[in-house]
Order: sequence, then C-alpha cells, then structure tokens
Amino acid sequence: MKKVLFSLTCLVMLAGCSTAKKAGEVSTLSEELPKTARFSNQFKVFWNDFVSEVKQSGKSLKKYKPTQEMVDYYGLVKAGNQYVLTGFIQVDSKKEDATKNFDPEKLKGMGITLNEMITGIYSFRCPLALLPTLINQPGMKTVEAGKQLKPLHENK
Amino acid sequence: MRRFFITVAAAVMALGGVMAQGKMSSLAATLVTEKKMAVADNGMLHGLSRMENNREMVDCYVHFNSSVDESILSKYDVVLHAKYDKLTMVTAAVPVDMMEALSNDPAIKYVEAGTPLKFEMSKARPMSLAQLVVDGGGQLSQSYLGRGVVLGIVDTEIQLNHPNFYDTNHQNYRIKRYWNQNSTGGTHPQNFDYGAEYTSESAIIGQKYDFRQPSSGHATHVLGIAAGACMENPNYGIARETELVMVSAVQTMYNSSSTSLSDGIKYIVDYANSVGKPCVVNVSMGGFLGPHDGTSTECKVIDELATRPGVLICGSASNSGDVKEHAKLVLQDLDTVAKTFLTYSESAKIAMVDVWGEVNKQFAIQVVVYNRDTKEFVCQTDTVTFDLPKDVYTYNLKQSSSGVNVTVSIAKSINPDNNRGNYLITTNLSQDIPDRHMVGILVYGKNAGEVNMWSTEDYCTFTNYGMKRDGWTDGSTDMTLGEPMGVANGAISVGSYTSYAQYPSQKVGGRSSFSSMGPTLDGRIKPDICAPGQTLVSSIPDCSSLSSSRAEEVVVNGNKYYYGYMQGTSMSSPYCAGVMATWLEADPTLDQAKVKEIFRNTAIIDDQIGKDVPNSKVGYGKLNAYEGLLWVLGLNASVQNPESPKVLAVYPNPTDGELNIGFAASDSKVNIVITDLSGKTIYNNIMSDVQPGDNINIDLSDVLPGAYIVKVAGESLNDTFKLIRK
Repeated sequence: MKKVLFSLTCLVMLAGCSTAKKAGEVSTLSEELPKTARFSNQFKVFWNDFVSEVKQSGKSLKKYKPTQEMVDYYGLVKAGNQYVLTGFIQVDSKKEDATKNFDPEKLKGMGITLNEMITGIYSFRCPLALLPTLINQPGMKTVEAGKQLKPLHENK
Repeated sequence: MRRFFITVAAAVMALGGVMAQGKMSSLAATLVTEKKMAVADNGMLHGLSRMENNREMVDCYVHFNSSVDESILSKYDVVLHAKYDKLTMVTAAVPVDMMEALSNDPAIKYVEAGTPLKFEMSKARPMSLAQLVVDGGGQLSQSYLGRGVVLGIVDTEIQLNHPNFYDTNHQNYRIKRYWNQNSTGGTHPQNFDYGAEYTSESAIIGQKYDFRQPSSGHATHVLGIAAGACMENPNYGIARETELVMVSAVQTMYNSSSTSLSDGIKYIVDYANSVGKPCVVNVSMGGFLGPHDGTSTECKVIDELATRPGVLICGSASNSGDVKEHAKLVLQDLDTVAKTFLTYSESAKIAMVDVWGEVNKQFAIQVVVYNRDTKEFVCQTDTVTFDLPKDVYTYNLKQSSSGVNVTVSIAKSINPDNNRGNYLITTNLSQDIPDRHMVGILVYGKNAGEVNMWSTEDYCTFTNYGMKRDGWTDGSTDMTLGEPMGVANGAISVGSYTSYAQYPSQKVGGRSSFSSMGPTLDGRIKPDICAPGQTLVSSIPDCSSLSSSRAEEVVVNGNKYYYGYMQGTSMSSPYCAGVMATWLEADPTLDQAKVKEIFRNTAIIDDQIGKDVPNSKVGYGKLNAYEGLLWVLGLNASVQNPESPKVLAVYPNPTDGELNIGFAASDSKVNIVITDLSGKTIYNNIMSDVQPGDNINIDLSDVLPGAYIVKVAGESLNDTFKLIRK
C-alpha cells in the first residue's frame, strides 16, 4: 500500500512538473520584443498576433499550430511538418568580442535557414518555435518579416 | 397590294431588327443576323463562335442595368465566365440563338460580342520594333535572339515542358536550371538551404508543373513572352535563343514572399556568373508595403546585384494606375490635422495601410469611425505617437447601437535606413461597416509636411467621399508603383502600353490605364520605360484555370499545347526583359545605367504616349527595341531629322527588291516617296493613316540597282533614308 501511494505521489508530482514546464514555456513568451535590434512594423504586428494566439492555444511553442487565418494573413510557409516565418536580418558590423556578433552557423545548426544575400543582409526562414531564439540573437541591426507579393497580371 | 405587304413586312423586319439590335453591339447583331440567314464561314461566325455541348456559343460582355443577376443568365442558357467587382458586367458564353432574347430582357442593358483577338505577340513585336531585331532587319546584319545570354524569371505557375521552352526545332531544351522553392524533398541549391534544385533536362521536365491545381499559368505566359521559341505559333517570344533559368517562388495562400523574390534573383545572377554569361532577370510580382523610396531591404538587394556589368533586372511597375491605393496628406503652416477615409470592397475585410512620413519629421496617427449623418466620430483609437512605450497598440472600435465593430492595430517605428516615421495600420472588419459609417485615418503634426500612405489590399482605396470642404483628402493614382520592382534604383521598372484595344475607348499605342505611375517617394521618375502589356497572347498551361481565355493551340510531337491572353505590367516587363537579352547579346557588358541612357536616346515618343518625357506615367516613352540595339551596336540608323521621333524602320537595306516600312507610331496623311539620286520619283504613295505595328510592303523588283532616297512624311513623321538596291 505504501509503495502504491508513493508511486501515485511521484506520478502526480511528475505530471505537475510537466504542466508547470508547459505553462512556463507559454508564459515566458512576451509581446515585448528585445531592444537589442530594431524590428519592422510588419514583424511587430505579426509578433503581437503570434504571441496572443500561442497563449490562447494553451500549448507549448513546439506543439502550437497556427490557425489558417494566421497562415494566410502573414504568408507563413509550410516546410515539412512545420510552419516558418520568412524575413530579412541586417547585421551589425563585427565586434572584437565574438559573443556580440551574429553567428549564422549556430542558427543554421538549430534549424533556421539563413542565406546571405549581399554583405550584411540575410534572408531567413525560421520555424515558429525558434522565433524567440532568433529575436534574441546578438549582432542584429534590424529584423523584418518578409512582405507578401502577388503576380501582376490584371484581373480587375 | 402584294408589293405593299412585302414592303411592310420587310420594313417591320428591318425595324424589329433595329429595335432588337439596339441592345446589342454591332458585331453581336451581325452574328445574330448571319445565324438567322444561315451565313457561316466553315461553320463558324467570323471565327468567333464555337461549339459547346452541341450549342453554338459566342463569348460576350453582358452588361446589366443595375446589379448582376445570375438567374437572368441561366434563363438564356448563358455560361458565366467571370464577374467584375466594380462593374455591372460579366463575361459569359452566350448561345447565338439566345443572344437576341437575352438582349431583350429588361434586366439587360447591352450585349457585346467579344472582338476577335489577333495573334497578339505577332502584333506586339512590331510595335516596339522588336520584330526587326528578331528578324535581323533594317541595318542589322543578323538577327539578335539573346544568344549567349541567361534569362531567368522568379514566378509561379509554370508548365515546364511547353514547346516554347525548347529551341525552334523542339530538340534542345533551354531551361538549364530549375529551383522550386516550395519543394520539401530533393537537393537544395548551393547557398540556399531550402527547396529543390533540378539541373538535368529529364529532372526538370519530370516536374512538369509547380502547381497542383488549375491556375492561370502566370509564369508560363511570362516566360513565353520573354523567350518563347515555338515558331509553329505566331505568338513566340522575343529572345528565343536565351538559356533559361526558372525559379518557382514560394507560394503562400494568395501570394508569394519578398524574401523568396530576393533569393530567386540572387540564384539566377549567381548561376549566370558561374557559367560566365550576362543575364536578365524578370520579376512580374509586386506589393505595396514599404517606403517606396528605394531604401527597403528588397531594393538594396536588387541595387547591389544590378551593379554588376552584364546583369539587368527588369520588373513590373504594378497595375494600380487607375486605383486610388495611395493618399498624400499634407500638413503645413497652420495645419494640425489631415485626414482621409479607407474604403473596402466586398472581398476585403482586412486591410493594411502603410504610412510614411518625411525624413526626420514627427507625426501622430489616429483611426476613427465616422458617422456621415451626424458628422461625428462614433469610435476612435488613441492618438499614437512614436514616443509611446509599446510597439503595437490594438483597439476594438465598437458601437452596439450602430453595429460598428472594427479591430485596429497600429504598429510604429522610425526606420533607420531612411529616418522616416512609419506606422502600419491594420483594420479588421468583423462585420460589414454599417451604412453611412466610414473608417477614417487622421494624421496630426504641425509642419509634418507630406505623409504618404498605401493600402495593401486589392480594392481597398482611399477617398474623401466628396467631403473635401470638410478637410478630407481624396486618394490618388499617383505614386502607385509597386515595391520593390517599381521603385528600386537598380531595377528597370516597366510600365505598360496598349498594343491591342479591347474596348473602343482604348487608344492603341497609349499608356494602359492600369499601368502604375510614379514618382517614387524620394522624387525619382519611374517607371523607366513602357512596353506592350495589353493584351498579349502567350503560352499557358494545358490545365490553365483560364481555359476561357485560350486563344490558340499547337500540336507538337502529337501533343497539344495552349496559348492564352493576359494583360498587365506582368506582361510588359518580360517583353522588355526579352529585348534586354537581345541587347546583351550585342554587348554583354551593358548595365542598367547604360540601358537607361539608351532609353533616353531611342524611346518612341508620340501623340499617344505624350511627348513631354521623361515623366512619371511612361518614363522615357515606349521601348524601341531596334533603335536601342543600333545604339548598343554603335550604328547610325539613317539620315534622319533628329527632331523626329524614331518610329520608323526601313528594311532590308540593302534590298534585293522587296522593301518594308514599319511604323511604331500612328500618323495621318503619310506620304512615302522614293527617288533616285537625280530626283526622279520611282514610287509615290499617300496613306490616309497608319497605326503602330503597320508594315507597308513595296515591290522594287523592277527598279535598277543603285542608290535611292526614301522619304516618309506625315503630320508628325518626317524621315529620310538612304536605300541601296542590290
């Protein structure tokens, strides 16, 4: 009996930890963007809606799936079994302290796609779950969400 | 008595015919009459009718007296093709035997048979004298077809195995690289870690399409205009011997992404560099978010890539030349507020408005809902300024009594690239805005100067609802160039002119009404040039959703392939890109600065396009493919009056006996006189009028070998050419 009670107690404690961890992941997502980089207005509006939707879903970032409205409105791209946000990053010039520099290889290793367009400007495709990591990177001057473009044949 | 009755019967029939024909276009009435009289040409009425489900049908515009009522159409077995949001008109297939009855319906204002479309690229090519270039006519010793040049497009909706993308013998496949940014399997291109790259003919053709459901076939049409090589059909493209690169851009629900565009342009430029060839990139896509002053990141990428010699990047100016998607609010002297309204079409419930101020000037924003009857703001947001702590402010403007329910968010920032204040306003109508209520945008700021804003959704425009006296600013069709291709310094921004008139009111040779106008926010004149973009026939996929726009088909190796018509700056840009490829063949070191200089010196300017150039409607004027190429080659075109617009071509010269005179502008009372060196006239002809694209053929086979003078003079034209008869 003691063993059963002990096992049950452990199970309840573990479940509590898991829930607390989930709640912690969601609750640390902040509407406020870091002050270390400038974010475009499009990115700000997206971030506002993204954080709001993640919190409303009650799910962790990893398990969160954007609504179709979110996908359509912000042009989120389906890549495999996840959605990515596309955009541009302009980086600061390199500093002596390497920890303050933008490290594209580290981000690529995490699963964020980066392509250097011209010196100092990268295009990115970032899984939604990794956005909090991306926005807190050092060495970024500006972060912009990609703009939606349409074909220009007349259909009026 | 009998004669009297016959006369009356004839009169009644004629009168009845006239009455019935009052609500039909002349062409429609003709078709109906000929059907009744069983007059047909090989079973078709003027080539306009076709059999559908054993019924003879004609494509028509059906105009309604008030709103469109589809039940009326069903009554007459009419097959609806398309509705037009702002017009009480539809396009439809009408049974010929029901056309008169339909026109007599009280709900119908007018039935207009669609006019026959000629093979449009065959008419468009001569209009900018591109035909001379591809034929090697005039002073050219050879044809110029883009040999040794890479031509790439970043686009969507391609059918990769269309014969237009082979050589003219259907042997050599010309697409050498294909990057589908949407593919999740396969090998990424080097330096780009997404999508799949295909490098062999079998792998590329094996993909066939980049779309899974019927679509318009935009990329198929665009690439066909620039470089189509299927000569079995007159609608082949310009640079038919270019090496091709296709990038299928990322496809989101309705659109693509600017990062996708930038990556795609770089991919094409890098490939061309890797094979040591000059390149032209065409982008027929655009949007409205951005400062419109050439400082956006997308513009920076284009500017940087276009600085390389032998790299030309062409893009569409956009199609909002007749839509008030821009507004300029001015605050000066004692002004403290300027304001405008936002209108929404039925399809647009969410609208974004991108607002940009002058450099280093502060201003504030407020969004309101205004009641037109009480002249009051029934709901409003706070006044948002740049120094407020949050990045985004969200409001729910609600008034239960009226039913107003609008969610507004306002994001703010000072852009460090241009030091302009920028607000991004998003409005979301949860339900239709109640009658007599309007969403307004107020701008505050003493001496803030000019504040410009652009609406980003189709059919969301700015207006003052006629309330200018109350201080409301109307929208504007100026500064409606798209981002980035319409405004980037490094891009050749291409507007559109009409090479085929669909409506009687359209002027062939005039600027297309939809072609967006400049200037840019920093005051630069754009577009740079205009090219044919209304209406062009080019390749479309076999599963095109625009099957009703099919104009032609060809059979190659036992398979059918299709051509259809589209219009837009999407079409004028690849036309220009094809011409650029021919110029690059002649000089692989050309850059965009040199090209713009060539435009300045050779563009066609006439009464249709206006002579006060460069300007923000047409840039330098209409693209002159032939004279531009002569300029690249350093050849003098002719003994010409330097004041005369360069709108004529006389070819071949020297001639074996057959002479052509091609016109790229209209004129009247045109006199062509050919004399020998003693002044003796050997040919003299006066034409009452000529139109752009007209080609006069003169038989000189009986003329002795020697030197002659050709004079062409009209109300505007006045040119003289030396001619050699071999």
